[in-house]
Amino acid sequence: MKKVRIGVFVCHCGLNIAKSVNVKALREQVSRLHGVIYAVDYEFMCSETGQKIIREAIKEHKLNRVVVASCSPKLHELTFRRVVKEAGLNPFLFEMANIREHCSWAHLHEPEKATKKAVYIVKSAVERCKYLDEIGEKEEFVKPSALVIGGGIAGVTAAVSLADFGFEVHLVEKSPWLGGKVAQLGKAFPTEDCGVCVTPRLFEVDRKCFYKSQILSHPQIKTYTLSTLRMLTGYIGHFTAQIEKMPRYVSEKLCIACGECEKVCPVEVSSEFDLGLRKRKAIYLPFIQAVPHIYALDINHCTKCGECMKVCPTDAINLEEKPSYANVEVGTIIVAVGFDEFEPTGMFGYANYQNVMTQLKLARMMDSSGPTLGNVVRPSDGNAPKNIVLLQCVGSRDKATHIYCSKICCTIALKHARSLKMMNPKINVTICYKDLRPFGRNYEEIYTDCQKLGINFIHCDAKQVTENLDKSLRVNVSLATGEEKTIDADMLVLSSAFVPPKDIVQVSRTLNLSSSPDGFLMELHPKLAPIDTNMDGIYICGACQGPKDIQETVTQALGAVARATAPMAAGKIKIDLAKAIVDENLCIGCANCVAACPYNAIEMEPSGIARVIEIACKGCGVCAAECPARAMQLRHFTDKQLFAAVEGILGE
Amino acid sequence: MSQQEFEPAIVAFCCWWCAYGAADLAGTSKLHYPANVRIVRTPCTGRIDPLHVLKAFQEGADGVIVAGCLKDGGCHYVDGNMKAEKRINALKKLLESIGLGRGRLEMYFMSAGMPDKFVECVTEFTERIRKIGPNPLQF
Repeated sequence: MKKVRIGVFVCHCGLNIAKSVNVKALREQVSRLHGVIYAVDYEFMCSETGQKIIREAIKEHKLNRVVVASCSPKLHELTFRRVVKEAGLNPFLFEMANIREHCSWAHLHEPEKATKKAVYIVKSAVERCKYLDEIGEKEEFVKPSALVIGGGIAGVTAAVSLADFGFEVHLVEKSPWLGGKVAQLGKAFPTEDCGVCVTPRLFEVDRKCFYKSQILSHPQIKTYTLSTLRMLTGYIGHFTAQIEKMPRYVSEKLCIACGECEKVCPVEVSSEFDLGLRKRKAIYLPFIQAVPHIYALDINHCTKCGECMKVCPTDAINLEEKPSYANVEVGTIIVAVGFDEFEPTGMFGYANYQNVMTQLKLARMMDSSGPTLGNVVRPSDGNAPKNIVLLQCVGSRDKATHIYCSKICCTIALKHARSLKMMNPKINVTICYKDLRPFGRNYEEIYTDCQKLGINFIHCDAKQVTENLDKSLRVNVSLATGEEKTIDADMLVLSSAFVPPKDIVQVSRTLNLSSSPDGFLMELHPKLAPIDTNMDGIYICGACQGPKDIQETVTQALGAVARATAPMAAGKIKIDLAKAIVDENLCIGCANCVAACPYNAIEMEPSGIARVIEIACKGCGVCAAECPARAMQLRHFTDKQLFAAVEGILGE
Repeated sequence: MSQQEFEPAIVAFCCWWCAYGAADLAGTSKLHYPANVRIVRTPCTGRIDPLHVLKAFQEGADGVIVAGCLKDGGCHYVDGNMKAEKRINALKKLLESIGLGRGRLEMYFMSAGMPDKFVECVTEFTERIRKIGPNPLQF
């Protein structure tokens, strides 16, 4: 090993470090450490002058290792790596000692202890940097095609937009039709246009309906309905996705949507799309504008009577259809699997009392082409309600269910209240809320409209709901003042929480994505990388990351398109090789590392030796800790480097 | 050395994504915790080999903390924290059987947004080690 020549650069960070850490004493002490050739302290190491001090010292003192003792590496590690690179050193021969966040700030009132601890922190960096190795970069090719998972507004937006860039897109949707939750909305705020129309073809500001969009005719987009992702292998640039397509039992090529089959089908079940407000047949279209405009047969309810097959003019129905599989190769993936509306079973009479429903069901009623043709009626008797109560924060901001705020239910309730009152000025609408948060642009206006229209707002905690003999309801609340109050209602609408979709765990496992404690998919960084995930080349958008309205969802979907486009447009990506590496002389071929790797980034060579696929490796080091032969090492966090860091942080 | 004077040396292996971030945030928020706690950065707690922990004891650490991401999906590397937990639990048994005592090693779980948790854990642990006393390997 070439003799190490270490330079230590101690930053004052103004007074942020220098106030509690005696930087002069620190510099003096670490300058005496073995291997340290040069030590200096300066007010702001990250400043241009500070950077110049480092560059010049590297040249003047022929330094081959650099330690900067300053803030957290989360702030300036990349800055200083660049600085040492500019001075001709490999950027990985640099080590940062965090004496601000982990020392001066945490021990602000104990200058002596802080200074002593700072010495240990720098000593650890000095010891560790002796064992640092040069690490290079590698270029990999990126396939110009993308997989979009989820055919709601986020997924469709992303797919169309990616296709417009000229990339090949595979759009996977688990249900037989596209559109997701937005298609179920009668009206979508703030502009109150119908849900199916706002789902894109997004760049056409005349809001040409998505059902006339190019989503199915776009030559670049291949849509897989009734499909899920079964398996994913590979890595950014080279993913291989196995898509499982469940049988539709109706040929997509042959069906002309004449509807003859539906007429003769003897089975009637409650419509999922209309949340039970209407019956559908076993062979059906959920609503008139459904895309693709092709029937599907629900095999679980089908009696196989064969009547539909007799009347189908194109012989499109095949009850023997089997699941099929497709393997597609893509460079990037966008996940847009959306959300579910929380089922508040047992809360406030939901599922027990007929006239208690959620906002989504009310939205179905208010859809002018919906099951009640836009008329709001009491499910118990079909009459128009006179008193409607909207109850906020059901399953949100509640320790017993979900602690988070579902964010858009306030605006949904306001929108519905306004529409109800505008349709029938005589109706009484009451919103029971804990806090009212119409947060978005143009949302406050909906609130002021509601106030002008005479909507009642009651600041309260709902306690209990009881049903009268005539199926009307009594809502007991305790007011903010502490008083108890009972509100009469013909109909109670619960603003139910947004929850992750039921299959989110399967999605996150298949894709190796991290989830937040609330169950939604987790972004790489809430502020700096809100669309990226822990997996390079996989991006998230829409409500699968957390409750969102349509505006935010579309914005984020376009953001995901931009993120996915970057590597695909460049056609190649650069990766640093701070990855796991196998010492072939030590490997015993046990394959423990292969089993431990969460990214399928290690494979066994025919010779029985493990090999790391560098581009797939994320650098967690689980394999290295698992290796019984110490043949596997994680570069930049090797055993030697970690031992040295431990040695440095202890001792005298 | 009397109990009063004993200032334990504590090494906290912190994963880069969660515990290290929580410690950063503790500093940024000017939350205070004992200066006895010194942090060693690891990419993931799953990288930590029992030997790294034993090395800390060999070098004179009185206590060792392994701090990673929250359980149930909090790990940046899928489940590195859970793999670490298994190793740490096994290692605790070993420490007990060789006479160092299982109490000198503890694993904690937190997110990067939980500086309070970090401070609470390391403060409590430092007090525990103060009571247990110095590492017998030191003489």
